[in-house]
Amino acid sequence: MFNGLFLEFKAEDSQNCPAGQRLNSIPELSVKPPETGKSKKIVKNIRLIELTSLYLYQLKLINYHNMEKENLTPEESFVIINKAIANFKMNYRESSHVFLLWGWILTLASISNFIILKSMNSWEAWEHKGFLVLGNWVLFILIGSIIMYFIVRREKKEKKVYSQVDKFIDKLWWVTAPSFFIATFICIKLEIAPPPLMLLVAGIATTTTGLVIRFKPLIFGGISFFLFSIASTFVTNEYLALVVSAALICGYLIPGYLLKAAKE
Amino acid sequence: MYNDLDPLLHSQLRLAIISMLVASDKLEFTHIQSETKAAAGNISIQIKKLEDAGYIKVEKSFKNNYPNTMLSITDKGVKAFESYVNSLKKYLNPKR
Repeated sequence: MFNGLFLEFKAEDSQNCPAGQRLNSIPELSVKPPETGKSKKIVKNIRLIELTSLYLYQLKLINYHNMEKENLTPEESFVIINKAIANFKMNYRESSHVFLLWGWILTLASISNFIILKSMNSWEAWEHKGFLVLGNWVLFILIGSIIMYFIVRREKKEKKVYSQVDKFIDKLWWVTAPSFFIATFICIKLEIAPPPLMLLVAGIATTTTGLVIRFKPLIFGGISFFLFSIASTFVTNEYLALVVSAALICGYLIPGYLLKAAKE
Repeated sequence: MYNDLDPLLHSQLRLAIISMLVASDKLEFTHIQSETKAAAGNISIQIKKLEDAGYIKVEKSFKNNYPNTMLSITDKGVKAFESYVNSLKKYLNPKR
């Protein structure tokens, strides 16, 4: 009973008394003293505890502002919920590192692919050329994956909040990554050039990410992947690598740098 | 007065914690501390209450050689929060 009254006293004072400021008047007792008997003595003791607490508060030894307020009105509850959710602004600038990493890695990979195709332009060397092209992509993707591992590790160390949006984007790209490999396998099996299908997959994931984080340059970057995917069907095999480079610059690098430069 | 409101959520700090967890997937203890400006001991007590009720999940680990507490909301917690908000709506708009 008395414990409850004591808490009530603290909760009320925490609202009215700013930290470090002495109270001009002693607050009213949280319980009226009975006339006689043992109760009177107990109430006096409570009064003593209350005053001691008040003194400690003035010495900043107790932070009353951290006490729990239990008697909330529905309006106050809504204010608390709104405040907690409204303060939850995410900063997606960190994701720019990932777009820039893969933008540069894959652009360099496709340019070197173009150079390989241009420099070994004879039918005799075709088999070696195929292995060289595949090896070139594997090497660049391997380098990208190693750097990505360190980026993810650093992010995990620094990140304090994981939003539902973070979770969704993570899952989206975890599904997209194997889709690239499956698309490559299908294209090799069907003996067709992989770029149109690869750019389509990249377009789906990039546009969705842009829409979810509400970042227009990334949405346009994703749409550009779709356009380049269609365009790549009109280009000869030799120049496909250049179309892929242009798509990566428009889809990953430009939005990546804009995201990095964005304030919040 | 507000008897049908979940007493576990009808408190300043616990409601703030659960609201933050509804908006996020995972949260670090230190983030709650910096957002609510409440004392670590007080937050720990409220977290324990929510954990005991099965509303939240607490994962303790080490980060940069320091203890790190990660919090996430459970399905039970989401349901409790939803019914709490629905009850609040009834008080604010009794006609509906």
